[in-house]
Amino acid sequence: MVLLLTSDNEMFSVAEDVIKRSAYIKNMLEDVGESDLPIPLPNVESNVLVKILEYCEHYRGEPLPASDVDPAEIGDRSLDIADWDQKYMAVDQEMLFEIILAANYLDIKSLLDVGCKTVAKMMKGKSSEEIRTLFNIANDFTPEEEAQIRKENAWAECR
Amino acid sequence: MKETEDKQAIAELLKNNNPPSFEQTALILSSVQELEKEFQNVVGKAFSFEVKDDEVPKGARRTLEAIRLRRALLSGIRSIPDEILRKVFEFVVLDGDGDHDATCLRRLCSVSHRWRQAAIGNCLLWTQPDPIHIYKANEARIRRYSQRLKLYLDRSGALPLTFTLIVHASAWKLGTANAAILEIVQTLVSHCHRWQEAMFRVPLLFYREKMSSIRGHVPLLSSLRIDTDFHGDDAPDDGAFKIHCFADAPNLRKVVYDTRYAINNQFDNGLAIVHFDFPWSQLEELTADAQGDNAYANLLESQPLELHTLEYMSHTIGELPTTIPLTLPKLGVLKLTVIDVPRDLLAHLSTLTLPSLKHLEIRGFSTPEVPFDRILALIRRSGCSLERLCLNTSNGSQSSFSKILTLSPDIAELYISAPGADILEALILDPSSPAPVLPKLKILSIRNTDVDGVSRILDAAALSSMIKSRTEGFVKDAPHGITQALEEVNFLWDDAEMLHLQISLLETPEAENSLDRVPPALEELASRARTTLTTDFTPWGHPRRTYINLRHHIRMHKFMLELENIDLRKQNSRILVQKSIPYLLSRLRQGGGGRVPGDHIFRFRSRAGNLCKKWKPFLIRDAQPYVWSHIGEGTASIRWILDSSLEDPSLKDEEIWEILTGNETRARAISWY
Repeated sequence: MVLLLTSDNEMFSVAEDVIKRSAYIKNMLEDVGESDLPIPLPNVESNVLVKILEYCEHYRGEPLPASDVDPAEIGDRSLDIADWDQKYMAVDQEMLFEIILAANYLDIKSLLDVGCKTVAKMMKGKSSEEIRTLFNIANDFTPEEEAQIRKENAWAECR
Repeated sequence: MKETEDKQAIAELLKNNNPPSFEQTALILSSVQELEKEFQNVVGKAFSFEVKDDEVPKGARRTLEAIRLRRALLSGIRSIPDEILRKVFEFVVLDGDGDHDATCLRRLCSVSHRWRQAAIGNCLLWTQPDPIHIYKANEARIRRYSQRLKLYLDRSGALPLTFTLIVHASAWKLGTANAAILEIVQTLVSHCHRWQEAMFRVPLLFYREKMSSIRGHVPLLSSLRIDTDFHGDDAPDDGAFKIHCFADAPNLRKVVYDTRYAINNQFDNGLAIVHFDFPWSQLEELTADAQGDNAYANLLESQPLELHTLEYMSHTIGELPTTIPLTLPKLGVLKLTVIDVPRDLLAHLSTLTLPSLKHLEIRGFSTPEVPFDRILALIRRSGCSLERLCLNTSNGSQSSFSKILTLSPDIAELYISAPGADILEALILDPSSPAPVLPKLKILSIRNTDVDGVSRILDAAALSSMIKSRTEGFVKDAPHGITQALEEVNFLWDDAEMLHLQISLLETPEAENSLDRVPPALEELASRARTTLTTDFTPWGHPRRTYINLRHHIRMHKFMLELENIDLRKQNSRILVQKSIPYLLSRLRQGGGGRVPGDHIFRFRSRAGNLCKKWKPFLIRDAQPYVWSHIGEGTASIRWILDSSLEDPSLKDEEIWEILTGNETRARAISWY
């Protein structure tokens, strides 16, 4: 078992083959060897870690992705998301982004991909204004940028 | 006081897109805690991420919104680092098929300062400039294309490019915007060292005069597609366009080109041919629709060891390699369609050894036909196991044909031409046999060409026996595990009338109960309907007077009334399908762009649609065990809807209806056979 200590000081005891889906933890275990000390996760809160462990548990036993694959080389950019993953990602925005941040921190590539796809699907087909509303984003362009955007969009109208 | 500070912090954060400061975080977190307490008091349970709007009383929804907004500001997308944002953008802009969504990219660049910088900073998003499609000599428009292209080229850094350039011959010939067009060509040429996948449809002279400098400077080019305008190019003085600019492309693997109808005035000036010079020996895939060039011979003589697909279609073909034995170890698909079959084709086939061949298709519309024994020899010599075989021949013995079948047990798709009874009998499946013939056959296509202008009928009994052997009497857990594989039989007849005669003969009169018997009156009306709907009710080809001939329109109306009065509740509707009436009514309803005579008074098109709706349940009811699909004059298909082939069994009826009316995708594919 591996001990994990979250940013809000909760301790989790997790089976090694479950948490090894995290390349970060896997490498740490390989580097440090067996230890009774918990691994601190200062960037992950307990409620997020619960979700992350749910994912790792579900995919327990599935082959781990190859670590030497260059992300730029991966061709699959389809927005297809497996049914279970879709249900898993049916959380509010706050949790969604927490999961993505944690997946990035823990280096769980498949989960990061699912998170990014989920956000991408939320954006697809929406106008800039709709995207701003969706994510509470302010229109903070400088006047120069506004002018440049208008120009670029005018070029695009020849399509 | 605290409430005011909270509101100020939120207003501040909504103005920019920075992550909240430490103080702002503390303030908002405190507000969130209070709001969550309030939420719990009102709703009776603690706030959680899973709470849905409709689970909350109306009075607490504002509190819920306030909690969400604050939490979104604390976490949300503004906390996501740029590298993840860029990854998200890749999923938005570049889809799984390698296509590029320029509109989405433009929108992402217009969201916020940070998003714009993140999108511009991701070179990958800019590697596929919008397709450039110049169909009019509109200079302002072409300049905008040019600006946009330069924007993409600048932002894509040094990454490989995928692009499409289409310049219609008419826009070029007009000459008023050629400087702007050339600016685009030159811009692309100046980045030719980054070309990876390119699609061109430009006047042929561009390759010789405007792009010749790319020769030897396209190190990344791996996929090239060349299209041409119909009669867009004038015949060159020397009778041939020789294009060498792609000859030295060390990574070129896939080439697709279509030059068959490129040259204008070729009938006046003799045959003008477009010759490409590609690095033949390294190609893995060539698909060519040519006009008698030497590509086929050039490719094979270069012995391309990695070639896996060769599809070559042409009116004529140059000399074929006939002397040196050619072994192409990876060639899986060989499709050769030549209208005027060359005399040396048979000798050429004898030189080939193709151990990986899965799909063999040889078609021609003149002698010499390729006899079965040549195909048999090719299969034997190659030791290949075919999955698709298309033979536009009926030349050969049943013995050779049977041996081909025996050596190819994996064939799932077979196309044969004018088969005699012996050939059809050779295709009969005996599930109890230790070596059943083509047990995996899914699609059988039969072409029946006229011979010396004379149409023939296939042996209906043999045809029927063969089809029945592959579709009837199968049970679950059958001996040797053989279950029905046949899903589709296509009939491709030169003569539409003969096809309908063949269909009548095929549909056996085994009616035992009253519902299965076709009343003679209905049969007569169905036959008349087929003729009438294909002549009077088409939206094209009528002399002008037909459109003002009220008597004619009234006759059409009376005929339509006859159809509307058919009661299918207690009679079999199959004869209507056999005679392609649902297909013809569906076609009439769709209109096809022209005007149907009398339609403005008698609303024939809308009535055709209503008839389809009215008949639909009865036509589906009677569409068993197989479904007739009429795809066009002289082309029909029978289809079995096997449960194993259904993605969604609940849509079975809809699928049957699409087949009956010839509206499904497969029908369009068959029409190209």
